[in-house]
Amino acid sequence: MPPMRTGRGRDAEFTEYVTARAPWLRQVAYLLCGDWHRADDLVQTGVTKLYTNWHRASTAWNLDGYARKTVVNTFLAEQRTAWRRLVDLRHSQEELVARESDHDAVLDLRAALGELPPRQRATVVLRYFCDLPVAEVARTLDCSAGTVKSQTAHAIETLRARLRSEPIGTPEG
Amino acid sequence: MTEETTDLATRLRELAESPAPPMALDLDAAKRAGRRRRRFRVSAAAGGCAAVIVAASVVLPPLLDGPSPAPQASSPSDPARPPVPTAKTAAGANPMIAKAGFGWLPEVIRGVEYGVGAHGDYTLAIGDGQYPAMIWLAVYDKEPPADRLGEMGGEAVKVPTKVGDRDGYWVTVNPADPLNGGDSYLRWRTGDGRWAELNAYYLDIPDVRQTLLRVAEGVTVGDYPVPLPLRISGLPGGFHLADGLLSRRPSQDGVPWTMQLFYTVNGANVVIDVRPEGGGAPDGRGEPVCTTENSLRACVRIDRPNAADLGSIGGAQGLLDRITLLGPDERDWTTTVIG
Repeated sequence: MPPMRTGRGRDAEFTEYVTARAPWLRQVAYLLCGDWHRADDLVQTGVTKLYTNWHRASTAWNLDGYARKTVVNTFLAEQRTAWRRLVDLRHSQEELVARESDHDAVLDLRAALGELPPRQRATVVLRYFCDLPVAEVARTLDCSAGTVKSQTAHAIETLRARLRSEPIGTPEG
Repeated sequence: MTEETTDLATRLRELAESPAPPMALDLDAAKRAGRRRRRFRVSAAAGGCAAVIVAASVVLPPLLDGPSPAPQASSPSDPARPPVPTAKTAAGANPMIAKAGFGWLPEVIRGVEYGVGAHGDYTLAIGDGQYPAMIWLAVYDKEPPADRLGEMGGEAVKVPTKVGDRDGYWVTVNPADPLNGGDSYLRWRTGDGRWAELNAYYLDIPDVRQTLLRVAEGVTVGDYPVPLPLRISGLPGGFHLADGLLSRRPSQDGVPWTMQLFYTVNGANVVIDVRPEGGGAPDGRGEPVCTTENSLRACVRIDRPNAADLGSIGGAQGLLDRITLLGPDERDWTTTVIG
């Protein structure tokens, strides 16, 4: 690969980072959209954006945060576009196999997440999967901390209602 | 965290770690697309200094002759050379217009790709393999900044050279290495006062420097409709081209080439996909309607048929019926695609 600047070069740095972090980005994307193939598309798009801006991203103090924000913003942007997705209907046998092996509880949570509005879903994923503080979620979603708190509250309420038969936090029922 | 949210975090981790199909991430595709976006973004930011990405005058097989002064139409009786796009077509008759042409190309190049539209215009002379040789060609109304893509960390320098009898220069981070470690930029002033640029990488051949100078000497500037493998008898009003692509990536997908025209119609997306018969099916939303003719397969796909409102022409099938496929021999392709 062609070295772009000094040291290892742009492509090598990018490849090394994405190879290491793509599985994690895929998990974030999957929790956002609830579909592994679409998650792959989100990561593909996000990684492309990351490469486009690598000269800036690679110097970011929090590269994981930069990459995560890219994927989240891609997910949110796709909710608003009619172009989604001309190239994502790849429902395959692997997906069916994966679904069959899902646990019921996991399916329940996936379905419950799917009922949340996209920004609430993103808030939940960032707060409780990525374990980000409110302020960092607000920065990622370009909104106020108050908005994050209210979105979180609404989301938790919805999840609680949706999972009423197995309340969050009370495994014994 | 409360007990409730702690449990939610646990469940989210379980969901994220649930069984999944193999990951489908194409890093090289991301890099290619990223490069295109950078080019488009930078050229768009140049304030009317449009990056006029150029056409190759000849596709497969690569020319091994000396550089030609202009794209030359080949004789129909010459089976070794597909026809060259030399004539302008009526406005709107061809959705893919390239703005200049390659002449001589090295043997390692196997074909030329074209892309036009919202995601950036480009032309790429490409080889094969996992890391195919790539030579991008662009023309700018004004001389671009030395580090046009902003990726040389303020270290870009110009190393003067000559392209034929014209002044030019290499852009590199190391004056002792004009080829910039294999990610090479060569610029020169064209005959009409604009600036042309070659950006080449993955070029594993002897004497890259002289090769790129020779490629540059063969470049000509002008509007060249790209021959395409179909004719459309007419498009209803309201069709707007969003993107057009002619790709050649046989080493990646086993398909010699694919051609796709992405249109928007009343907010819906209509895709016309043409590829050699047996080349697989196009991905995407909407049930494809397909036909096979002259060893080519064409599919029309509409993501939201009701919104597209093509009932007056018979919907996707009606649009497909307007398409004539010209066969796999590129000498039979046409520059008059629509009408």
